[in-house]
Amino acid sequence: MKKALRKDFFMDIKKSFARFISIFFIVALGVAFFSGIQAASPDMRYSGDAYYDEMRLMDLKVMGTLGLTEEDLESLEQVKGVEMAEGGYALDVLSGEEGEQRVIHLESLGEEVNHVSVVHGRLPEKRGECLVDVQMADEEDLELGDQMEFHVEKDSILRQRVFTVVGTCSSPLYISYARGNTTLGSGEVSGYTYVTGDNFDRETYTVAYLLAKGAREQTSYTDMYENLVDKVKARVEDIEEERCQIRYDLVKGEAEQALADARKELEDGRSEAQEGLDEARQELEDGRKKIADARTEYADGLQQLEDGKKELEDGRKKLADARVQYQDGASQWTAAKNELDSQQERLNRSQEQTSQGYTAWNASKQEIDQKEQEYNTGQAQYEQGMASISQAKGELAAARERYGQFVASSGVADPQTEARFQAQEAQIQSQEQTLAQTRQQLDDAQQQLESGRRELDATKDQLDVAQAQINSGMAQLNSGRAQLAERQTQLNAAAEEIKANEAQLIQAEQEIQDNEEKLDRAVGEIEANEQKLQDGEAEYREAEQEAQEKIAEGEEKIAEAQKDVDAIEKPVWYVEDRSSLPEHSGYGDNADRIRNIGRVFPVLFFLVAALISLTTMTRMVEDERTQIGTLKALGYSKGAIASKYLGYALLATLGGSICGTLIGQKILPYIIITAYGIMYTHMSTVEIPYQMFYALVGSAAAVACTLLATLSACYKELMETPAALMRPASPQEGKRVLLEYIPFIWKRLDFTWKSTVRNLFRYKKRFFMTIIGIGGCTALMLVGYGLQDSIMDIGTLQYGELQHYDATVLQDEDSSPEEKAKLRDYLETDERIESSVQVYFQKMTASGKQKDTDIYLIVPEDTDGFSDLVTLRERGEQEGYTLEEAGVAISEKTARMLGAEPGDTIEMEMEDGISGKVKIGRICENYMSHYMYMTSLLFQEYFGEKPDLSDSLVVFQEEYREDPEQVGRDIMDYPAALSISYTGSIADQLENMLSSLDSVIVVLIVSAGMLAFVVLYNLNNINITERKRELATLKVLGFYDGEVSAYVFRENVLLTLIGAAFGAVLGIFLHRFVIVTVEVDAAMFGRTIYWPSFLYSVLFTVGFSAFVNLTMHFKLKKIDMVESLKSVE
Amino acid sequence: MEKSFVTLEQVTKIYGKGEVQIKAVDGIDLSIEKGEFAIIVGQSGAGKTTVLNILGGMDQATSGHVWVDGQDVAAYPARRLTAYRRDDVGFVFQFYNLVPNLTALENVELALQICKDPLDARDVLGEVGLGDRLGNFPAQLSGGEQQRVSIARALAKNPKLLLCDEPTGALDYQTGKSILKLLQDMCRQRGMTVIVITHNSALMPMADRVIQIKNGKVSSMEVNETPLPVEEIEW
Repeated sequence: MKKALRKDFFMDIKKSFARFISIFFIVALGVAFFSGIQAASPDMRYSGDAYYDEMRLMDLKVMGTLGLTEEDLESLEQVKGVEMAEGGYALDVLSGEEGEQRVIHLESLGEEVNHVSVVHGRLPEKRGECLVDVQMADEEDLELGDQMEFHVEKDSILRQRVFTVVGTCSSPLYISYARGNTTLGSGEVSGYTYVTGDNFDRETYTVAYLLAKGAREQTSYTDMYENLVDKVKARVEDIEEERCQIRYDLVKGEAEQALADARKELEDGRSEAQEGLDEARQELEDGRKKIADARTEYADGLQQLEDGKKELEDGRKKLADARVQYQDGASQWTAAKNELDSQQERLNRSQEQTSQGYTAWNASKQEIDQKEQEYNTGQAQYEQGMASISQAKGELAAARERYGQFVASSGVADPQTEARFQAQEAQIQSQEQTLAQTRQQLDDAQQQLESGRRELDATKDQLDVAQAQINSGMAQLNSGRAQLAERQTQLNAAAEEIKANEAQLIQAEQEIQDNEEKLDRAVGEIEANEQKLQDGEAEYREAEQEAQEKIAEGEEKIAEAQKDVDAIEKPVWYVEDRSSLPEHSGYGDNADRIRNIGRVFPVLFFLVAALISLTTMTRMVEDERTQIGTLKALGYSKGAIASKYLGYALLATLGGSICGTLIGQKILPYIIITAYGIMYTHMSTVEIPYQMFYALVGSAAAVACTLLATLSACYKELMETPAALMRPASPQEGKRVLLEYIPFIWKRLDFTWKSTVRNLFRYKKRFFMTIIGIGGCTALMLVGYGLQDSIMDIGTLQYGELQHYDATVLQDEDSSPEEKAKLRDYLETDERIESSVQVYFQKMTASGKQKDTDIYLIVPEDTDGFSDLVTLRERGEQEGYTLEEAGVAISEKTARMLGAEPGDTIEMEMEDGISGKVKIGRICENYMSHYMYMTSLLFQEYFGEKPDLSDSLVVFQEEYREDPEQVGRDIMDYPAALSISYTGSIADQLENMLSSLDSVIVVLIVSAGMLAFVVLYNLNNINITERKRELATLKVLGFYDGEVSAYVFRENVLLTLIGAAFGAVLGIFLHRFVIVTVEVDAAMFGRTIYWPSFLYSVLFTVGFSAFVNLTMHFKLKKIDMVESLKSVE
Repeated sequence: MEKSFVTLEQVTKIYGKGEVQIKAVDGIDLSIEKGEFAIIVGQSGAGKTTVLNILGGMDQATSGHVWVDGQDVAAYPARRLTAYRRDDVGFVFQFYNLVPNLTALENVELALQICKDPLDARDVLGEVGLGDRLGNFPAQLSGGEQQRVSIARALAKNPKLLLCDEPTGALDYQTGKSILKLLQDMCRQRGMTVIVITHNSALMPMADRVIQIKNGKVSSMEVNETPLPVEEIEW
């Protein structure tokens, strides 16, 4: 490029910076959106994959019906393509209070695979510690340190029942909200819990997790990954046969060994019992003999006793004789004694008399002695009296002399003394009388005394003679007594002897008595022993019977065990890949959805962008016509001239492309992945590498578009001669438009309107470009909103208008007829259940023209009641229809996928090999999954057998719909209920999934809005630049700024309105196209766009237009009127 | 001093700010009487277009007064200025500046719809000799015819002042002459004040007043008592 040209080039950019920048932005937007949305899907996969790799998520899971041994693991590791295999334990357990039990999936912590990420707390380190699902912990308000108790059966492999929560975690096995299904409790797993492996008691693992070699290097959800894992899976399945056989042999062998042991034990038991019995029998025999001996002994004893008794009798007789003899002796002795005694008595009497005589003598003697004494005393008294009277007479005579002296002397006589002398003299005289009397008495007494003495001596002599006689008698008596005493002694000895014999007898008697007692006792004993013997015999019989019974029982048990052993089936392996994990495929599906959106939406977006940049460049070239002419006239080559415009376009487009790629490939995938992060909370990894492929495709397309447009515009100009170019382009003729021929309207238009209308139709290219540009944006927004309508519709339509049942209860085919009847009865009678219909519910495969489709076949028992649960109708119609015999009803999407129409026949195959040809009668509206409905008569006709109408579709009462698990748990309590799935949770899951898509749609809408804005700005900019002169003229003519703007805007408003209208129409088609493309196989999106979506898209377009026009108003104001004076370029 | 119909007093116009200042017009004084056919003549760059812009209300003077019919236009704010252009000034451009989408008649009517006291468009077009081309689009008309439409558009507004910027600049000799004749006739017949700006000094004799501008100043202002009819002028 020449220097001048280069300068001109840069000056041009500077001068027309708005144009440059708008091309830049439009391309940037287009490329950003295109490559961004395109990249989002792989980025989602990368992010998911990065997360899975980081957590070392298993590639394959192997579960064996008989468990997996260490050897199995080793063999698995030997399989080509397997990097490693790790065994683990997993089981579903119940937890919580009765009635609110939830099912928890318990799993052992993996070492090499399925790492968990701890959210709070720490990993469990020992038995009894657990790490719980953070989602469940939040829902159930579980805190660190809480206890969790699990209810498991007795023979469960879980050793521990109570666990302490030591942490919460997220697991790569559960990327979203769903936790999978189970056969326990409510049928749905509420959460998972990790514990250490030592909490399980089992030598075989329940599950083995495999990592495939090289799988980590591949990206999940890609064919590369899936092919690789499929290959490994196939190889794993190849060794299944062998390993299962080994395992089978082992288990069966063990069981048989155990059975043989049991048999042996039984045999041993049998012989042991026999031995015992024999022993007992021997013992009984011995007892019997002993009793017989005892009997003999007893008889002997009895004899002896009899003899003893006889002897005793003899003894007694002898004793009686002895007694008689003794009695005689005794009586003789008594007679003798009596004689002696009477002699004695006589003697004694004589003695007594003698003694009395002595006594009387003594008494008389004494009396006489006393009387002598008395006499002696009297005598003494008398003498004393005589002495005292003589003394008294001397004293009186002395006294009378003294008195006579005195009287002589004194001459005075005293009468008194003379009286007292007389009294004293009287007294002496009385005393002399008394004494004389006493003398008399004393003499009498002396005489008496002497007679007494003589009598006394005579008595004494008599007494002495009697005494002598007595003494001789006494002597005789004493000799008699001596004889008696001797006799006495003899008698006593005899008595003694008798006594001794008596004692002997008593002793003998006692002895006999004792022996008798002994014998009696012996008899008792013998009898007791006999009883015992009888008891023993009964016991023996019982024991014998018992032993027989026990043996029979044992035999039965062994027979049963044998049956069990025989029933041990060859184990089967379930080899599953990641798609078996809850919601794992959902993530891939979401990525696919984004990819599908990326297939259509950004392309359109890009097309609009390319179109606009194309228009702009064409305008530019046309604008610079004169300059081109000048350059050409100056001799510049065509290439040199074209290179300027090509350069301009290239710079703007390439710059925009790069900028768009840089921003778009980061921001859009980030927004989308983050939006999905709401659903996949724990997949924290966001991997958004630049993807050169999409960047290159987008940029190349953008560059090619603009460059070609520029080139073609340049080419057109460059073909003309410089002279022609120097002249202003012959202005396009004003033309009358159709409207002018309708004077009715035309006349009412003012000139600006007329000009506007004519303008619109004059520049047809610009008109269409603008219409397409604006319309395209409106259409894009409408598609965005429409997608939202369609997608948000699914749940409401499917579960609000079409499927009304709240749960599907699948029956366990192996349960007994009674159990089945019970369940059925319950479903019909429980008051919490509004209604239930028995159906045949089976997954079938329909072979289509392109590919096979899995379809749920539902055959209701009662077609009328069924219409309350499922509304069959054709889309767009309000009225539903009932199932007919003419053919089956098949869901719309399914029919489309199979390429079938009513009247066609399709082939259906069930899992267990039953197949049949089915005629399609009608199409029914359906959005989720594939369904086919038919009457049981039809089923019979098509498949040749009666459908087993054992499953149920259930509608709960209003108040239980919020929490259907409440009822579900009770249903699952019935053994016949195999599983239950709740419509509500499917609907919730769907809603979660789609609400993430919602934010993606917001991205679409915002992007479309941005594009609309740039497009409008650019088109307006072109419009104004193109008509600067005209506008300047209007200004000069005295149009106010408002009027000038209005003059331009009228056109823009019209263009916008027409464009928006066009966009709305275009949008409808586009939407339909996008929907069909975006749809995943398992779902049909709604086909309707609701009017608010139209309103919003049009309003946004108009709003952007208004905003752009407002900014343009200022631009218009700046237009210099001097422009009008310039020559036409 | 009694002001003329159009009087410029010490009008200056300085473009640019700061160090680089260009005085396009540097103290111009001139006056034109009502009904005069005035020609402002000068070399390219002399400042005549600036004078025209200021007179036409398309630009504002940096200083000085512009009296038109007793009003100081220079003091007008932007909106008042637009009203001035709208009601008081008719403008004839070198390149006609017709709206290509409108017919001759409509182009005239376009101007008329915004002014207070317009003439009848058909009549005016008839007067400029286009009575039979009313329905044609500019592209269907020759340059002269287009300029006639342009003049008709200016005249129909019944302005106080008719400003013409090189009205013959884009036309050939004969056509230019006829346009000038038309302008002169309009001035004579209607008593319209017409100011023609041109670099062509050969036109001077046909004017009532000739104002020469050099280097942003009026170098001479002469009143021509005996203007020649256009037909007699040659260049």
